[in-house]
Amino acid sequence: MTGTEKRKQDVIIEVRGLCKSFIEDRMVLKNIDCDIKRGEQIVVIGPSGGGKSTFLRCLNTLEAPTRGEIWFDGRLLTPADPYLHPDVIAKSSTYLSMTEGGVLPGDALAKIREERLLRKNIRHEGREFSAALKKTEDENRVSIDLARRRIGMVFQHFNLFPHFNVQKNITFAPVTLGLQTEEEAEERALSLLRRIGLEDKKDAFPSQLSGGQKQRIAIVRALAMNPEVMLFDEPTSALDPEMVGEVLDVMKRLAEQGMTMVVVTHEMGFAREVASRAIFLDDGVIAEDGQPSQLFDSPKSERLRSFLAKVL
Amino acid sequence: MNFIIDGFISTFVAEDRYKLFLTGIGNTLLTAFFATLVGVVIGSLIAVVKTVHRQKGSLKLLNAVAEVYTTVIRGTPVVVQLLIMYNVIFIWSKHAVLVGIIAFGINSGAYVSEIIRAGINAVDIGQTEAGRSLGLSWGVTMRKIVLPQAIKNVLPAIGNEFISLLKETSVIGYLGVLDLTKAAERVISRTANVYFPYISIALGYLAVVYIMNYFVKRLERRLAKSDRN
Repeated sequence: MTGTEKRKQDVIIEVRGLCKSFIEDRMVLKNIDCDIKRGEQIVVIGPSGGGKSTFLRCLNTLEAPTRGEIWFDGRLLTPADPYLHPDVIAKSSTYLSMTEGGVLPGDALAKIREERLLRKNIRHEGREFSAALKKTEDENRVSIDLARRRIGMVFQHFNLFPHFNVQKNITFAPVTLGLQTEEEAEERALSLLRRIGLEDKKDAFPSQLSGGQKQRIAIVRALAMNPEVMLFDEPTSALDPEMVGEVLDVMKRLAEQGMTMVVVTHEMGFAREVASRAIFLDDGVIAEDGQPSQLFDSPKSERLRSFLAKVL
Repeated sequence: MNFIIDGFISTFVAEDRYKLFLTGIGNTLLTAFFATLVGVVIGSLIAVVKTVHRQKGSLKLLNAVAEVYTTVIRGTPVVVQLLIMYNVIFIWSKHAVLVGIIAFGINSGAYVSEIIRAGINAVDIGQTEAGRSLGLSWGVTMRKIVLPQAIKNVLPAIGNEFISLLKETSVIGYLGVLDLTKAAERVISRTANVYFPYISIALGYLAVVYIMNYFVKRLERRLAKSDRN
């Protein structure tokens, strides 16, 4: 087994050159590279508008990246980004005309990647380029719906299905997708509900529940799919203060069981206590990345220092 | 008093003229009912096309057709559409009621599509995101998560669309169809008494609309109640 393959094995989500802009010329995420390893509990902190939620939503491509690639368990979730594949660029007519014009191959490649010189309409880059790009995609890409079955997500506003009762909220996806029989799913739903102490609510509708109950059930709904990663998008931000604790408790227990988690949060206590790694995302870039204690106790950048001073 | 009795007799009783009105209201209800059905089917398709285009960026051509359709239909009078349908497009057809149903249905579809589209848009985008994040396809999420909530929200509006369509069908007489309005005109051409037939059909329309309204209101209340739980 080579080094890269070994590295790939414990990396579950790989983010390469991720850029996202909602409006032309205003990048929310700027060329982010990040490996998320199995068993890590990552908290993403940073000022609002810094791109935390966008980053998280790009991980399961709920938000389609503008550029760059997301890899999940060694498979490509996004369209292939030619700039990340030198062998593909080398087939482009831009590259060929540059090298024919006397530019050294290495220089041409670097210039194309740096200045993003490929034409937007890739057909103009030649048939071989299109074929190479398509080959990269065909070899690596996985259906997004298949990947999302293995990536659970919890939202700020819960997003329970209001026309289903609690049990059906939990069992609907696994049963509809044919992953579990009705009975299996119900049994699993009940045991999960028991764990969070809400088994008596299985027939209730979401509108009859408190915010904290809704969010705990939203977590259970995601867990019912037996995901390998859980993404949390500010799970406690929409809750009344007295309900934050019950949701964090569930998340903490999940972390103790070794679930791989990526959590966007403003709960600094949770971040420090539970996380195995913290990422400070500011102005669209990962400004700091390391042990939570390291980030909180000895921040390197002025930005992080002033951010912590405001929130702690 | 005599005036009213004479009017009643000459309008309804003489020469079995009540039969004209019965046929008339039958055609009116028939046209409105089936035109609403056609409208809901067309409207749903158009709404889904526009939503698919907005959310996924695909179906460009169909979306352009849908845009032209809603613009043209909502930008021209229904009488003109009716006349064009009968005299230009279905010139070979003798089934005026059928042509009327198609014309009103196509007309209604443009309005219904906007109603349903608004209903889909009113469902929180988080519902779609929750469905998709669980690995459900776009189609399943649309059918099982979004549309049930959207349709529940717009049912009263579709009821109202039926009511306004019912009144609009009064111009189907342009095609020679014996609807409620045409029935009154037939009678007037024989009796030369304008008051009684016109007032009668106005009350006829009002009665039907009133009953329909009652059901729509009841539906609205029931839906509101299930929302509150």
